[in-house]
Amino acid sequence: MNSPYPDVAEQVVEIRDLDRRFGTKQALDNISLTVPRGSVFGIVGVNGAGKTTLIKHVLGLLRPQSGTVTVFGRDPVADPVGVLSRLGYLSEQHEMPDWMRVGDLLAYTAAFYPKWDHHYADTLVESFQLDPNVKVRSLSKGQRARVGLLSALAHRPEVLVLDEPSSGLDPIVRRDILGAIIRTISEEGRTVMFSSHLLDEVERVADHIAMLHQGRLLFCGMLEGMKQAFRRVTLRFQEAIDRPPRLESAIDWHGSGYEWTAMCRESDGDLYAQATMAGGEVVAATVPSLDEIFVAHAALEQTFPPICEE
Amino acid sequence: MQIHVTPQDGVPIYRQIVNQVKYLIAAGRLKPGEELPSIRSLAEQLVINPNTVARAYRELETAGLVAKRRTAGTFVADMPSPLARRERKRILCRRIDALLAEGHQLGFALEEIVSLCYEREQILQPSLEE
Amino acid sequence: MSVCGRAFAWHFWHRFPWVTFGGGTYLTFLISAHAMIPPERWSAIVALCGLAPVLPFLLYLLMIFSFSEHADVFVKDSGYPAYLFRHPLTSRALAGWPMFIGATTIAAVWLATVMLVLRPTFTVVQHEFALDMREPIDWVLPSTLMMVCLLVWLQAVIWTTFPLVLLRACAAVMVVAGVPSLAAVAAHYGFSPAMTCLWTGLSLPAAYAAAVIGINRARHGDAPHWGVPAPLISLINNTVGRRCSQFLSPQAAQRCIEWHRSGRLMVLITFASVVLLSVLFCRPNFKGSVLIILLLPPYFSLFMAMALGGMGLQREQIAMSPFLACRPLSSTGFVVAKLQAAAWACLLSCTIAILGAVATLYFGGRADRLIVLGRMVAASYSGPQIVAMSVVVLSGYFVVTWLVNVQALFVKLCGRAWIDTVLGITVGAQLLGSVYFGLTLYSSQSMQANLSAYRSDVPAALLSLVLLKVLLASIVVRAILQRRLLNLRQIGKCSATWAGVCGFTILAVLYWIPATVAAWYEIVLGVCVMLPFSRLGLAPLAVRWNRHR
Repeated sequence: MNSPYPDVAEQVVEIRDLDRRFGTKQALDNISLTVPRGSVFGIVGVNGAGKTTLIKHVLGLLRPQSGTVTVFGRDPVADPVGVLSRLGYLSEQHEMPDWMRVGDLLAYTAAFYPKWDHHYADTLVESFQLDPNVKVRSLSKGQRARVGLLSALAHRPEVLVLDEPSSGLDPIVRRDILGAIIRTISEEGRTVMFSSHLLDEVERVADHIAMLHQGRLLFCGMLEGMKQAFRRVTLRFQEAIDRPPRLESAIDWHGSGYEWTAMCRESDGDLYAQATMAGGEVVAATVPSLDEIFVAHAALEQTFPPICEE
Repeated sequence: MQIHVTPQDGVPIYRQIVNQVKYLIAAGRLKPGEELPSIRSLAEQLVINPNTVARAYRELETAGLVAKRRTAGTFVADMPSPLARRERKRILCRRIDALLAEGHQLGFALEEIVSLCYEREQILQPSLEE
Repeated sequence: MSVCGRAFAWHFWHRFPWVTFGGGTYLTFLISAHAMIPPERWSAIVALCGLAPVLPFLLYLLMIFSFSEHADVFVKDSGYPAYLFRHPLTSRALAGWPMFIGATTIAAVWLATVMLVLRPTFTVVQHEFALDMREPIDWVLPSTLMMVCLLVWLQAVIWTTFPLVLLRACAAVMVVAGVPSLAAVAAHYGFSPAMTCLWTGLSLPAAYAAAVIGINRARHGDAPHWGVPAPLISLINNTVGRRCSQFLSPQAAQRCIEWHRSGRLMVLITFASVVLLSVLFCRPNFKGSVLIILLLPPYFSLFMAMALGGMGLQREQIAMSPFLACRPLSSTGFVVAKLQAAAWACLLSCTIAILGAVATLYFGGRADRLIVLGRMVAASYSGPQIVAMSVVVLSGYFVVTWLVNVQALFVKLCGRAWIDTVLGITVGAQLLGSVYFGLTLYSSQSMQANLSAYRSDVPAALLSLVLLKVLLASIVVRAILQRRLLNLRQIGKCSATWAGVCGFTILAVLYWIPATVAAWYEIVLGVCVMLPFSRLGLAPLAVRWNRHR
């Protein structure tokens, strides 16, 4: 690949053995992951799983308690200017100075980025139908998100970091945001890192994925790899049973009577042999959607060692 | 080109695109030599990752259904590919499978179903000729 | 008190437990001081020491009970907390209970102040400031009613929705400035206390009615909105918008935020107070008026320092907001922007105060004194000497104001509420302790005699303090270099600027304090003890600590 940034390694973000504790709560537990250049990296997990904490570490807003975080090969805490000037960030609350007019906010943001593209910013203002003379305070939530997105995009950052970009927004603004992600990666070499719990969105645009649960990394790697790692298996039994059978690789069961459906980890041995041993017959085995994998894990009490593809 | 992807069902998105393009070619809605939308514009239209579109196009290319011309874009292959016929047959087979399954469930024998097919053909014939 | 009233009282108490605690401590302190110091030793100094904390405390109470700590005076919407609108209460209850609780509290605090500080010092103060007022007991009731009147009208103004943006600000200024000026006018023209009581008492129900109507409107969203004419909007946008559309550097952009946070408020408050006081003091034989006006900028900058240190987007938010933390600006850059914004605000405020002082002298019929002074100076010094002297004096005045504003910057910059609280309590206790110490010293002859014995040790003690400060400063500089917040060249530049600031301050202080009070080296050392060396150096470290948690 002909990268426009030849001086930088192919890994844009590199996190090694990251731990974070807030009081007694373990917010992140031994996280290791890498975000390759040019990828769309989705972070999924339930509320409180540690997605925002992870993103704040990437931005340098949180100092690693143990382990290392490097962005573009630099430490975001030691060199905030070097890292942040190449990043674009959209926070979940779309927080910005309320009293500024949209035009002032853009001018304020532009002052920090030497690479700010005024022409591109004007185009975006037009396509988002923003009025530069309106105060940020009086914008609707969707317009606010658009202003935030604009100020994260217009300096054409190498990495776009979005924290829950579309929670609570209408479909049109969501489409704007996803469109921005797609345009960003269409330009060669740019990377997008975003967290979300709208899984169909993640499934549409992400190619790499990290799944967090209670601060632990359940999976990290290519989206396809993740989907291949799970199977949704329906078993039919000779007689009705009132409790799901024990199956080593199953992480979540639902069903009743003769038919039970399990979410299974492909890596844990031969499913069919296990099913036969449990006294059932496999009547259907499909690739699950991300949604189903997510729900199965959210119901999970114990945790498995993470599946990581490097 | 009308393509619709649904991430919710388990089928990978690139496979959904491949299947739908194959269907469009088989149904004649994509003529040989017709240009497919560029990767970027299709990605923006469907709101999906451009790499996914690229992967689908690669798969179609290896299957011989589309051809990439340097600098010009991606076009539906000129030759009426045998694959197209095979694809049409595959689509029909799926419908027949469903018909047979439902027929057996409702208690019809195979002969009865075949004769019903002839009967329906007779009824539909005049309307088809109009 | 009904359940609803108790709920409101609980609400106020739980939002600001420290205020209640601090107020209680202070009142206890006053009562003990009152019991300890014999009446013949009370003086204006004692009264000032006793009053200085009460005035901010009263202002704070005004803010709390009008819910204006979250409200912005520059918006149209009601400042009443919207979550209270959803309670199943009538608008009369929503307006009435905070008014009742607030009025009772303020009246109690004011009565305590009057009884414990003002009454004992009344004769002395009246004599020293050439006031002609009646017997204390006459103005206790009117002044209490006046305080309550100020509170309820402020509440009414904050809670009502206004059809135009600037109307609330104007109304608030009118209330805050108008009620005390009415009091002063009444005192000046010798209205009887009964008259004053009558009109303040009558205005209370009017304020209540206004607040009820205002809350009722805000609650149901039927506030009128007057549109500004479109040509005016475009005119404003063309002038203001174009001015703000380009920032030359990241620091300039950041300075704009800091100016908005605390700078412009300080200038506005100084302006309003200077105008008000100049009008009040425009009388021929009013001693000390110029001094009071000139002391306003340092006094206000002490309070603005609290707002200046915050790193949130809201004024009261202390932790660094992610929006600011994600700006690609070094932690030092944030500090520099704050220092610059504070410098501009102080410069403007000082200028306003000086102009106000001159205007007071001129319109008070004391211009002749100014001219005599000018002639005296012109006669005894040469032109360059006069220029140098005025530069030293003016810049010293400005630098002192600025230092008061920025000296404790690092406390808020840490972004930890507990540090703020702990240090606040420590400084408060220290202040109270020194006032207490001063009062005991003042009241006992033997201790004064003892103290003069230690007079010769003062320079050595000061010198050791200065050396300790230099040691601390070098540790801070080392920490800054280690974390690469500044490089050696920038440190050199900062030190040079700082040396200039210190020089001006020292020269100005030397100019003001006559050599008979203390030797010049004592003054220099004393000034060095007061100057924030390491505290300013701690600021970038504090920002870094706040930013990367």
